[in-house]
Amino acid sequence: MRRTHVDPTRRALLGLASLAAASTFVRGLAAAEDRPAQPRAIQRCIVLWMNGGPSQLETFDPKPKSRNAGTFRDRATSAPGVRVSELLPQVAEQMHHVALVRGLVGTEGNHDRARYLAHTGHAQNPSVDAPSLGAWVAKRRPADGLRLPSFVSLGGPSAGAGFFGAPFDPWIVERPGELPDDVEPLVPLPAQRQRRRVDLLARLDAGFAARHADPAAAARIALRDRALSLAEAPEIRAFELEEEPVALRRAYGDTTFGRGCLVARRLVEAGVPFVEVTQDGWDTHDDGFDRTKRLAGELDPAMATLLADLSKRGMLESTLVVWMGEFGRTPRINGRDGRDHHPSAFTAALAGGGVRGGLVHGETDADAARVVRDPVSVPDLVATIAWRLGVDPGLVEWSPAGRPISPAEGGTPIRSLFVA
Amino acid sequence: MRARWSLLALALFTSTACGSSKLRDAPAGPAPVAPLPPSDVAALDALVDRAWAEAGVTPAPPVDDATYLRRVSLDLVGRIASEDELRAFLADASPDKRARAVERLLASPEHDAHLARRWEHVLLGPEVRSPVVDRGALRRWLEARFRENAPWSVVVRELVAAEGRSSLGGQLGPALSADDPERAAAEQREGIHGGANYTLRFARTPADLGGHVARTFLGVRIECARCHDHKTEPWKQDDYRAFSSALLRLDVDAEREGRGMLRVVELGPASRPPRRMLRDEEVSAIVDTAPRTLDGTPLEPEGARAAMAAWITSTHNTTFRRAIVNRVWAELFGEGLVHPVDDLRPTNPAVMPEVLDHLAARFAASGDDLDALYQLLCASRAYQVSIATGEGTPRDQRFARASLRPLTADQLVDSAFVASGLDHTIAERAPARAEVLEARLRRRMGFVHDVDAESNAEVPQGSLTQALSSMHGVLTTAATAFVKEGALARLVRGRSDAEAIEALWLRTLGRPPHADELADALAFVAEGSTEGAGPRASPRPGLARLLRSGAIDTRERAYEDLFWALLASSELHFRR
Repeated sequence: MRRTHVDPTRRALLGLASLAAASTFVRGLAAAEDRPAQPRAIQRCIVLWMNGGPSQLETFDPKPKSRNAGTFRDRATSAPGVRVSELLPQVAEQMHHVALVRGLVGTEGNHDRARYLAHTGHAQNPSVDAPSLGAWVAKRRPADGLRLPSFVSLGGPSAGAGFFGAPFDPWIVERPGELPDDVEPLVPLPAQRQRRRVDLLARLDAGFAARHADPAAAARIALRDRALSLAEAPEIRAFELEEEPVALRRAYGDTTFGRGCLVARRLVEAGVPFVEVTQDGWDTHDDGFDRTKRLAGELDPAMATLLADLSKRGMLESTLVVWMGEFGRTPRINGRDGRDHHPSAFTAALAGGGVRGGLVHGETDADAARVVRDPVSVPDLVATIAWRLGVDPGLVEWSPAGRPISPAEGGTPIRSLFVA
Repeated sequence: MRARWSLLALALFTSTACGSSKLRDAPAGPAPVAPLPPSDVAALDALVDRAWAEAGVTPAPPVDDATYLRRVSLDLVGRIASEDELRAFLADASPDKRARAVERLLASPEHDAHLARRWEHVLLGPEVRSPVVDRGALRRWLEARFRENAPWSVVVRELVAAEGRSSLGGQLGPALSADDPERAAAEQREGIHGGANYTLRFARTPADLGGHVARTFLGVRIECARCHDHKTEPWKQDDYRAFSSALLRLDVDAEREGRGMLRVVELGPASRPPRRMLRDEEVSAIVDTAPRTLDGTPLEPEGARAAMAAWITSTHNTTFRRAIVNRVWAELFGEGLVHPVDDLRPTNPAVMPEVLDHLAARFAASGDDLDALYQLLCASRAYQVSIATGEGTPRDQRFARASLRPLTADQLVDSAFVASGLDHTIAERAPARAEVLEARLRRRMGFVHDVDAESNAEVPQGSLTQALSSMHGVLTTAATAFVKEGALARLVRGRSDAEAIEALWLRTLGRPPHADELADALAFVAEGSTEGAGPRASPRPGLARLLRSGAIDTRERAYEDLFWALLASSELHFRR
């Protein structure tokens, strides 16, 4: 199937048409009108999702002089003047590829709500089930002829497609590095017989759809079709790592997250536009320093090798890599050697995709407690990623209840993070 | 991968007789559920009829018997009806058979287990894993309360003000099954209060407790005012703190345990929480606020927790009853009269508010009897309207029509067991492994994280993972293998093709086949399935040989394919 290409001007016009209908999006309208010359949209995004909320102090915003510095020091990096935690020595060597957003300001201190905000660009609201960014990409910027879903989540659930429906949900793959469960029949059948039973199934489903003219039935049938076609798709081999050199696998790290990062690279290489890799365990209320050290020990080689590997393959310029979690952690160390939830100042790291390597955007106070320069809201960050992926933040889709929903509520892209 | 194969082997070597769900038969006779006075149903129907007339909506026609049984089975016991249950129901000619089916389901232990699982999910979220939270103990405690049909107000009072020991301790691991009678008996003997685990969920985040209690049991979102006041919200930060303050007047005494072990925690009354908790600034600000109820009644710090629980559940608190009635409505109808279920603020009104008021009053008059509420709603005309398409959701049309609803992950797993015909046999032959299989499937359908999450979100439905599992998963593979004395062989043996095909339809889709489906299936079986030419990859020759022992003819192979198509079919994955 050939997808008609929608050029940026037409997209902007479409966006404008729907915006005109939604008076609440005046800000977005203005932004769309005086659009400066912008870099060409990129096709691929890998989100490294630090589930639980990583400490900014032990990662990309160390404050060695603070009384709340904690156990670890900071260190210099390949980017002049940029210092990161000593827990990330390999990532430090890749910082010339990375732009830091140190002034992130969130509004949610609860995992679930904050995770929703970071994935959808919207505060959780009972009347709308907002689609996550991956679902926007799957819907508006799907890859041509790709047989895998456009949105894959490795080692974690990411966030769903909301009212876009099941076809745009992430495919959640628990154990990256092996073929996902049940892709192939447990006992393979000869092709002829397989075809006969699948044809029967299709006839049953067609009858079901005819009896219930419900979009949910049609959506489930489409999903089942896609599930059936997966086993035959050559791209499915991107989930396996046997073809990768042992040394490279070792460099990424023999961990769920390390394998996830390598599979993510293979998936974007195969054409999947949006991949999320989860590293779970960052909710470090207790034993924070020991646990953070262990987590960073898995994160560091995986993330650094991913950036180096993408760069070596000439894919980094066209692949945006985003490192973030749902919030940061309190500078104050609690009574259990841990840090608690801290949404009011935290850091995200962006690499590739035309990002200005070595840039630091925003700044926190001496404790990393408050943002003192260039605050960036979570919807701003989501809008930035959306914009960079060619999903215009001014786009509007209508929820079932008739509400206009854009990729990030009130978010404005931080264009200065990118090379024009 | 190895686990997948060993479970398949287990499933293959267990033969099965199709039929009743012996799996969860009660040790003692279940409490009978009395028939409902017809006037109760008439009064509710009249209110709903009037609302429909006012809104100018025409109700969709009522569902047929098979669909009704499928609905009540999924809603009340969390699984589709077995073939035997369905046959008995369809053969029953008495006019009150729908009501009696509901009474039978409500009286079954499966209903208690189903409710306990639902509430475990609401109270702990899908994600909480913590060494101080014994999920299994909470579920078993809930199940026991539901089994004795304790009034909802009593259940909630005991939950919110739970005192005593939380757990027997032991290895930390997935709370596999509430059907662990030995552990349940030991917990009873030792006086364990499984309900304490709800409070302990907030052991690391005590400031969240008040907001969760208010939202869950009263439909009041005071936590919106947690960080600061909002101009448009009626609740202020001080209200939040005063409410939460009462609930934190408790003593938490945890026994030291090694890593990987469940902690035994004793909750007791106290005028202040442990000093450890007060190190958190927000918690100390909460405790520094004098406890008071949401209607402004001050409470003594000593015993404030119990007093607050009593206030929440007191007979004067209509919000408490509106909240649970709305929740049960949402369970049965897909959406609450008030949506979302936990936001009953005045500016978020109910559709058919008079129906909500009526049900809340009936619920109070029944002595907060949950089963009576389920019984009344299932008997109502609104519950029985069939699926029709229309603008928005059924709620937008006052529930005058129903819509297709994807099964929840739990319903899907339990229904797949019933449809496969493997449910109780696996349980009889190797219960421990059945639990492992069940837990694995549940986990795969949902997803579990390691955070102190505050999440009541259901897992995403209709995922690719579920679609793959229904086609290529262990259950489908095992159930559809035509092996001697296997589930499928027994189902087909001694039956004509038309009878066998009907049995397969009843077991999977919960209805007889339509004429065109029957004709198609008959032709399919008559034609037979051949193995066909072509190479066949066989990763595990041993088991593959077992699955394809020479005795299978083309007709039997056709049944394998037919059963496979039914188990994978999209219709099976919905509540109609």
